[in-house]
Amino acid sequence: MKYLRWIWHFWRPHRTWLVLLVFLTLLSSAVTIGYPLVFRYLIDALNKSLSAEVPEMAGTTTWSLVGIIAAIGLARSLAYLYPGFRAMLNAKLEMDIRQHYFSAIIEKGYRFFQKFRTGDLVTRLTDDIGGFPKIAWFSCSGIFRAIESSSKFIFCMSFMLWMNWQLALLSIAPLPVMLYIFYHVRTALGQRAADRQKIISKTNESLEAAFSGVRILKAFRGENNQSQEFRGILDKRIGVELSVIRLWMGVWNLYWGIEFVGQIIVVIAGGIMVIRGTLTLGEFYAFYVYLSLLLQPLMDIPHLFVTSRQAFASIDREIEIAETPGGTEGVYTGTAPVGLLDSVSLDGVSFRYEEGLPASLDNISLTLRKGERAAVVGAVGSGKSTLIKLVAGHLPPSQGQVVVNRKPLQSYKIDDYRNRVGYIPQEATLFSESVKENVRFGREISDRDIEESLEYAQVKREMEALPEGLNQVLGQKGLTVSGGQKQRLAIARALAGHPDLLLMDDCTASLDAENERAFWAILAERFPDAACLIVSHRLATARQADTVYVLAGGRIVGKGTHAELLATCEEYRSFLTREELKAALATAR
Amino acid sequence: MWWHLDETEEYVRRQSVRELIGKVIPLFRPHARYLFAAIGLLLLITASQLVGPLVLQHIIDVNIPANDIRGLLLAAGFYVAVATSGAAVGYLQAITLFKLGINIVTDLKSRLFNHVLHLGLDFHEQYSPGKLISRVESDTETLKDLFSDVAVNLLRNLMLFIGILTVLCIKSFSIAAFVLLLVPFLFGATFLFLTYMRKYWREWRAQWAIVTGYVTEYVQGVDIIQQFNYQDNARRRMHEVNLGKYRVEVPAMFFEYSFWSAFLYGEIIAVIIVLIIGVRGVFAGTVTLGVLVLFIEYIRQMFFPIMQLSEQLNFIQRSLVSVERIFSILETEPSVRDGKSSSEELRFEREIALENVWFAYEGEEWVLRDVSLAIKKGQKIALVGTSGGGKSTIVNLLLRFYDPQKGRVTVDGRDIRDFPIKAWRKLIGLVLQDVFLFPGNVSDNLRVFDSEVPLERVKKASAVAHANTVIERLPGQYEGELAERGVNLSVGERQLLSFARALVYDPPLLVLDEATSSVDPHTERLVQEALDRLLEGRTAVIVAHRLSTVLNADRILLVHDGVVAENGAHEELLELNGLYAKLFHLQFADFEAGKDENGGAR
Repeated sequence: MKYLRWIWHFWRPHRTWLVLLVFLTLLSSAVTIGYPLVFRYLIDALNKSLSAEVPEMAGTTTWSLVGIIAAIGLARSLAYLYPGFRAMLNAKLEMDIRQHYFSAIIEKGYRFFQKFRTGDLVTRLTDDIGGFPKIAWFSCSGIFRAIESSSKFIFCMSFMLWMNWQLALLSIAPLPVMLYIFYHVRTALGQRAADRQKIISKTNESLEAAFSGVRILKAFRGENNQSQEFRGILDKRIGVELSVIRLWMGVWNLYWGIEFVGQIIVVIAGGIMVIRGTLTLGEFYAFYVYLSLLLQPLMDIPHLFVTSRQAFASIDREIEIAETPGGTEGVYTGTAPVGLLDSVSLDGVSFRYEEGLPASLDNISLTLRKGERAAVVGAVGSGKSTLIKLVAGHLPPSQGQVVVNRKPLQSYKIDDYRNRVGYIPQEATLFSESVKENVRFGREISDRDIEESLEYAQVKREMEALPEGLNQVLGQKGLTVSGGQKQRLAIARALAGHPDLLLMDDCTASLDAENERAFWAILAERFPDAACLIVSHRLATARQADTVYVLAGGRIVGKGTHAELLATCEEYRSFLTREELKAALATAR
Repeated sequence: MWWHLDETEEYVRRQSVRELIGKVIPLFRPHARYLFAAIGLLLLITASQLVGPLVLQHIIDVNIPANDIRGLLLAAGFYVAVATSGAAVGYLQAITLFKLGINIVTDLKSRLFNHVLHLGLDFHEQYSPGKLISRVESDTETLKDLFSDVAVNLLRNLMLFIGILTVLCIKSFSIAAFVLLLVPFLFGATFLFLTYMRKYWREWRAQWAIVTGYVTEYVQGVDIIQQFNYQDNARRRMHEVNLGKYRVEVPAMFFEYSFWSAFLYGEIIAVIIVLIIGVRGVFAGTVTLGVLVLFIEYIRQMFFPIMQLSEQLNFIQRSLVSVERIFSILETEPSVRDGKSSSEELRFEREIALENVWFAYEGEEWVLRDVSLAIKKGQKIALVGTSGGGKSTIVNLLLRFYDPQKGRVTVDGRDIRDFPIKAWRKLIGLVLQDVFLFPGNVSDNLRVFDSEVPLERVKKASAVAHANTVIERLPGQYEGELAERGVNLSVGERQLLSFARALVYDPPLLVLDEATSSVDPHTERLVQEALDRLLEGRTAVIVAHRLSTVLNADRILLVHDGVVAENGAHEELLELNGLYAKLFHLQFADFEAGKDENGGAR
């Protein structure tokens, strides 16, 4: 029920199509049933004329029959388009469902992305929705096929009963017995299918282990032994698969048996009735045909039950997306507009990614003022990136507050605040758009500003050299750019928005020393009022900063200018020596 | 079935269909019996499928006019007999074919698996385990479906179609001739249709790839999207991409269904022909009523096989891609090969050496440049240096995971390439940093599935490596199943197991990549002790991360930027005050202070 309600939610906007689909269902059933009736009439007419004294049939009868058949044929052709309409609605539903959950995902917070890997989410948005026989297929084709099958079955049965109820009942007499048997076999089938699934998983597991551990296998000369192990599993699998196929074939034969026994009953009982004159020859043939038409819907319905389970499992996976919290819901709901950023500070901020985990940041207080250049240094895992993300308004503090212009960040309209912040993450992300669009990124920014910011980021010339210049499409099907170029494009993207606050997570690594100096000069000249918070490993960066914060284990263990820290902070000194040494080692040849 | 996405289609070199079929046929040879049996049975089955309408005709033409109930029962009885035996034969045939398919595929699968395991590490670097699994599992399964199901059904449909036409011709050639006229049109149209659809499918797959690509990109870049308030744009783009797929998909499907809809109108035309000519024939006495019914019934059954035929042809075409991929792997030669000398000649009495070795994983990007070093029997060598400097490449060469492009690796002066690979590797016990445990029980893991190694030896090795206490605590002990990747063991415990594994064959040379991950003090002590015992009386090459290892080594090689930059004992190198001295302070000073830099954040 839950699933049907879920499906209906997506069906609602397309409900007018239901009329067409229902009409086509009925049409399709009607022509399936109507077609043999024509032959019944034909045969009866022929038979009657033949047994008349002068065996002749009015030519008009033949031609009117031809006309009727041609007409039914046309209706049938129309009905055969039915799967096309179903497929169209599958596609519509697929689009809507994907759009819906995609929209949900891009609003989610950090906690959500800790739980789901990218690959998993991609599967949920593609295969789970558009695969066969998954959500979209089931939501329209699956359901309507079930309806079509039931309606065909009912139509067929009604006609048989109407023509000759005794024969109809006789011919379907074996049906309940067969269904009863089938019902019991199904459990066994489920069991064997599960066994099969298990041994397939085992095969995969064994493959996975062997390929991942191939070094160890080779080093210990275990290749052949492992092959033998694998062969053993495969041999077992043969047995399991055979048992499944035997049962399947059994079931299949059972279905065939239903049709066949019915046919034989029709042939014998019907034949006797024709001889006795209680059934016409045409009806005899019609019964024969109808019995074969009964079979297909009967086979379809249980099959649909199986697929429904797969579809429902996928629906559960979509619902899970909607229901998993991102950890940021309801935090930044303020509506006050943000003016020019005068000061941004962290006030006793702590942050932990998960309850029970040690704090990634512990009681951090710092203030950034207009035009200030602040650097954050610290070892890997000391909490630098977390700090930047907190200032960016990506992560909500577990304790304490982010304060903007002396008011808590929560009171502001968060989009407004973000528009004033230029954030450059550690890993630059580009999208499959043109260079220009990657920098503009949906904002109202003139081409001139874009070119300017590309220049500031020292990447303009390289981009202009691309085959299609700044209109070159990047990524996926387009061109790939180097890691350093990516970084600088991300810098350009941030600068293009004329931010009041620039947050740079270790991104100057892509600039060489000279470029970096030039970059800082441009920043000082063009963005004198912008505050900067920079995570960096470079001595040069730290040296020119107004304030340096030294982070260790999520705490600030030193604060001051480069010179002050060098004099007072042991951590800072050891950090610098290590970085210097690393640099020396890296360049030593 | 248009929904399958074949993401790797382009990777494989195109081979001609004839070439591929030439490769597939030998697979059947050991199972030829089954195959001939199956095809023989097919004739019987087709005959039994044809018999229903014939019985109907007989009853209408003979029994009913004669009011002959006995004859009717006889005819019905005949039908029961033929159809039942047809079903029984069909069942047998299906099972036979399935056996055929699964046997062929099982052989192929294990052959492929064994081949992949014997291929060099260069191959394994190129193919992720995931990709290899899909080669060994999915591609071969496609072949199974091809052998056991699709190919035969194709034959069956073809035979049914021919059978129907033959019976029709015999019964009344004058009517059948007209129906026959339709056949070329039907096949021609189907052929054209398939050609068109293939284009659509390709386009559809491309669209599907774009959708997947966008979703991946946006999900990955979600923080940037949120930061720049790009959500609405992202939604719009997603919608456009969705729409792009929709616009390819929906017309394609309408085209497909319209085609079949028109195609099946052929049935109506055939029936009309039969009606016009047949009815005239009935009154002229050249055609009986029963034959007319027979025609109508057969025509009703004739079109379905053709529809299926086109689907099956399609499947066959797609499975040829699988065949291509399978054989492109089977035809890959291992990059490292056995030498000609016998393993008896292999001696390690004096030293193992790298002589002017150059090595590159790719092209001319040398990872090792003219490296020479000697490992005297009984010596313990520590390799140190920053990551990417070439340490693990030396390990790879020592194990013959790769062969050097220039220079040679020698044992007692002879090139190790002269000997069988396995004989050489038998001399070495390898311990990797990342302890890899296979699914299966403990003892299988320690003897790496070699059931000829007696349990006693496994136990002895475990005792030496201090792994026995760990194992004896496990449920089932040596026969106990390890959870996936040994997650039920701690890091330190897994290390002990890997020591035991290296000891099972009592190798004279140990190659050891020390683990960097820290363990609790108790286990740390166990690991240290076990390590000492492990090294006792053995030659060892250790990629060192521990201070004690470096201090205890007979010689330290600093591998940096593809060359052995410094070489000597600890004190000598410190005195040199070069890179080693720097690295020592940097790396091991930290280690000594016990600094833990593993914070919670990424």
